[in-house]
Amino acid sequence: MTDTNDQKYLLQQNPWYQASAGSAIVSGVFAGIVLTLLLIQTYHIRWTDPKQTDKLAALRKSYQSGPADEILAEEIRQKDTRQRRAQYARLQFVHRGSVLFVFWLAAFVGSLTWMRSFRQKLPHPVRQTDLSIRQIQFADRSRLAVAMALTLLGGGGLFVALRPGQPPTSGAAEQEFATGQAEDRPVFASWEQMKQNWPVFRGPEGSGVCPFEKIPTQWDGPSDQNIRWKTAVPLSGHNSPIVWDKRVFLTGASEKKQQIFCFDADNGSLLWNGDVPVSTDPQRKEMSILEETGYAASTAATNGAYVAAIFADGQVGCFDLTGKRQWVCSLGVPASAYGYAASLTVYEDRLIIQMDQDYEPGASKLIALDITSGKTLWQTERPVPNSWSSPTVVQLNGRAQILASGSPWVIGYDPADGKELWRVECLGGDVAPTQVVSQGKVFAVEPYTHLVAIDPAAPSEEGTPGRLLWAAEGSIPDISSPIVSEQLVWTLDTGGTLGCYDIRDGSKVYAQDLDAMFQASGSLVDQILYLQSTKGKMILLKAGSVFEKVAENELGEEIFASAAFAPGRIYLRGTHHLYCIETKL
Amino acid sequence: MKKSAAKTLIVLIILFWTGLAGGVRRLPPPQFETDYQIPTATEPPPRMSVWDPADVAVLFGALLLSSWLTLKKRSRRWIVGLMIFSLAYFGFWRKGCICPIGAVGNVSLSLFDPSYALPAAATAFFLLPLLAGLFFGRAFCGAVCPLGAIQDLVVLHPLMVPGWMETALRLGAWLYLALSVLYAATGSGLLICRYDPFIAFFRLSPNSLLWLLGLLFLAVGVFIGRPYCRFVCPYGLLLRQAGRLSRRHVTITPDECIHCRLCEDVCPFGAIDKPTAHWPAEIFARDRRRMIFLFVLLPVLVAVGGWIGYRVHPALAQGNPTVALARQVQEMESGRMTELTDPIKAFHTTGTSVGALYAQRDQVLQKFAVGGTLVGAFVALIAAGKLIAVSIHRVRTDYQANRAGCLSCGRCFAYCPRQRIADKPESAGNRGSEKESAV
Repeated sequence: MTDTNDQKYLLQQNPWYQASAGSAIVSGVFAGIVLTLLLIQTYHIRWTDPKQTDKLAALRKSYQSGPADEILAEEIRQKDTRQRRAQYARLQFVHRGSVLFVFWLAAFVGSLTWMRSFRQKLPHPVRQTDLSIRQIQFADRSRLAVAMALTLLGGGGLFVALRPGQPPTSGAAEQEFATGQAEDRPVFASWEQMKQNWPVFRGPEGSGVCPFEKIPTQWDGPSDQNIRWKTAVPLSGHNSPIVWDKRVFLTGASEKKQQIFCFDADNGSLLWNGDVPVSTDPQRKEMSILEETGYAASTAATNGAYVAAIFADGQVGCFDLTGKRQWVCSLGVPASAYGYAASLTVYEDRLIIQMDQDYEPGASKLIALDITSGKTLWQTERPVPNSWSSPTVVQLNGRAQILASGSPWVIGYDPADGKELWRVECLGGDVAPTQVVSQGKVFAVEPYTHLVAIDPAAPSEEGTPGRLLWAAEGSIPDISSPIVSEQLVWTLDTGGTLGCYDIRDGSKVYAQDLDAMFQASGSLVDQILYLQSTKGKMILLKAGSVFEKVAENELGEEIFASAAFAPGRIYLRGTHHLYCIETKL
Repeated sequence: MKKSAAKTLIVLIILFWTGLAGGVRRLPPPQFETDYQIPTATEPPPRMSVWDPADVAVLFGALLLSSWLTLKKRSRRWIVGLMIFSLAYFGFWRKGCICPIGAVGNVSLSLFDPSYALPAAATAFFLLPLLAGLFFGRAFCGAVCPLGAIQDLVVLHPLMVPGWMETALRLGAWLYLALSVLYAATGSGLLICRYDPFIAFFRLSPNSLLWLLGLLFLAVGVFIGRPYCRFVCPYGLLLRQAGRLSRRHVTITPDECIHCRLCEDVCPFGAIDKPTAHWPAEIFARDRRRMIFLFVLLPVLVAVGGWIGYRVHPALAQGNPTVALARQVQEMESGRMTELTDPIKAFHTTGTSVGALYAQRDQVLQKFAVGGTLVGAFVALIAAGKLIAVSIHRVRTDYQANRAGCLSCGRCFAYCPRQRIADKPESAGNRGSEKESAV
């Protein structure tokens, strides 16, 4: 104890020690003062000033929203100037202060080090413990510590990876995650259930063939003959209605709004409408959209649990059947010469989108989104340019396939992973008609040029799967899709010429001018062709090898959409109204 | 034991406080018309090309001098002098750029992006300290690194971090190294430069949170010697490996160890290895079995690490500017965000389509998927390597500077009686008797 006191006394008597202690105190105090002032200024710069900026922004907003107010404008100018001056003064202060702080800090640390040199103690090793015990302890503790650190890192990683709201792993879809209720609902309907409804463009396989009975053959829109109901559609669009159980779905869009509509199938009342936000991409304003195409040309699709729609700006929205929005995703504004028009289709829990834009790598692709979440399940690049044709899901050669047409290919894909099953080179030009299937053969159209038949199961001359069977010329459409029965296939060009071909060899059976313009694709119902002209006249023809007219029915407004069917009913979309046609007893 | 636990707790609390920092807010230009003419933005002229070779020459000279001072001169005082010079030159004068630590990012970027031309100075800054490390140990860390120097000068009351804790904490540095390479390789940014805790000091710009981070590291450094160097620095990890392989290395004693134990606790960085005892046979056998088990477990750990890394990759990718922008644009497109942010406004002026942005985002995500998997697998591999390493029984007969951990600061020289004798040539004739008295 005496030794320690003596040492202290000696130190206190040492003028160099006193000098070091004094300089440490002075420099430490100055460094502390400067640091405190710097912290205060930093606090102002980071937290107080932004609040002032917010207040100023609020004033600016009120100035912009109200009538011209010169007093308010002057007040804003003065506040803005004051704020800028204050902030720049603070920045200058902290810059000078930082130089001072570094100086005083260095002086403080130097003084402490100097002081310490007077008080340095000689090393005094403590009694040594057993080395082997220490080594074993070190190894055991190190193992435990590393294992704990690894567990912490792994656990942290898992927490980040598995927490809700985790960003998507890939793909363009951004989802508003469905609530827990979504998991309780069935994810999709069976193929049999799909066939009992009209869930996608032109029915379950996109062929336009109606399996239902008691479909009306006589009606008149202007006099309400056999019109069960007629409802105004809030937004225009050339897409076709789809039907699931007691609900009919349509979409409509304008430059500023995009919506999906759900109508009561029995009385036509609007059950709900759901917004799909318009893309903010400036390219939306530069989209080249023909008036005939519009912002909502693509038909929606439902799998019995969800209904989804796509619009001309590449915005996709999905809702449950009660109208609750599940997710929205943006595929980017499609590059399309006339406006995006491919309809959606579904396969089980997959929403299938054909996005044909250009030959450039990655521009054209077939995309499958998880309809429950909007996540991309797969996407397959397509070697095709811009097209307007729609994908279809069909049962072909004992398995489900997705078919898609685009110059020059008709391609079959595996819905599970998007891999190509077969392809046939047979098309050209701006492909808009959608392929149809009958008797295991695929029929597709090259606009104005020819109708082709493909056997996907047969090998081509090169030995690859898919063979072109025949190509027939004649009245070949540029927009509407063919209609096919078990023996015949019909094409209807925009000018109104109906062509009928034998599906075995493509030989022409007959050609007839219908004296009307047509854009919508026709349907086949119980051996009768239903062909709706743009002027609103539905022409009914016998679906045989001889041309024979059955009836002509007026709707009373123009038609650009294909018909949808339910047992005993036709749903037709005019330019302004949705109609339900049913034979009144 | 209690004292040790309290120290451990203090160390943990201090380390817990160290966090990452944010950027600096700037005022937008005025929105109303005034007489004031906003000056046209000008780019600073490029640095004169003569300075890059000059920097490399200074680095080269400083490395040689540091090696000589630690291996031949063995003078802490001169080492401190060189430290102060390096801090002044590479730190305050060159404003902390370019430095070998940040060059890790540049080199990684150049390896994965053929369009990025790695500057010759950056290459030299990356390679020279490593080459010096292979020949002379961590000469760079000792007296040339400005980040090391600023921390070394504030080590006033060092607490010993237990070796086992240091081993575990260093895993964080490996993770940081892996993430830095991943971010650089994917073009997401140079993490090491972005989060250099002392850059705000060197540039005298204290209005940034980085400045507070630097202060925090310095405050911690008063008690825990060089916390950034030991637990964070990614380049230090490379130098550790170079040090292990070094041809020559710092020794505590100039000639022979007399086991006086005076140097035992003087290293504030815990880099003095003590002599080992004979391992009991049962422990030896147990550890051999454990090592075999760990070798078997190694692929499993790597696979699990890779899987976790893959699962985390979307979150990691949020640090990429393209991915972050795409996310904002998506939120805008889906209607969840209604107010245009500055990045979205800037993006729209570029004329790039949203689809093209998403395609770029998807490409980046794919890179992160691969990179994240590799990062996870790499960190697991390192951890498994550490577990195996502690099961290896090494034999030491003397007190030695740890070849990997020794920072070549020269603190231990003065504590060695043999050094004292060597410093007094006139007493060379009495070495035998002094050795006896020291023992």
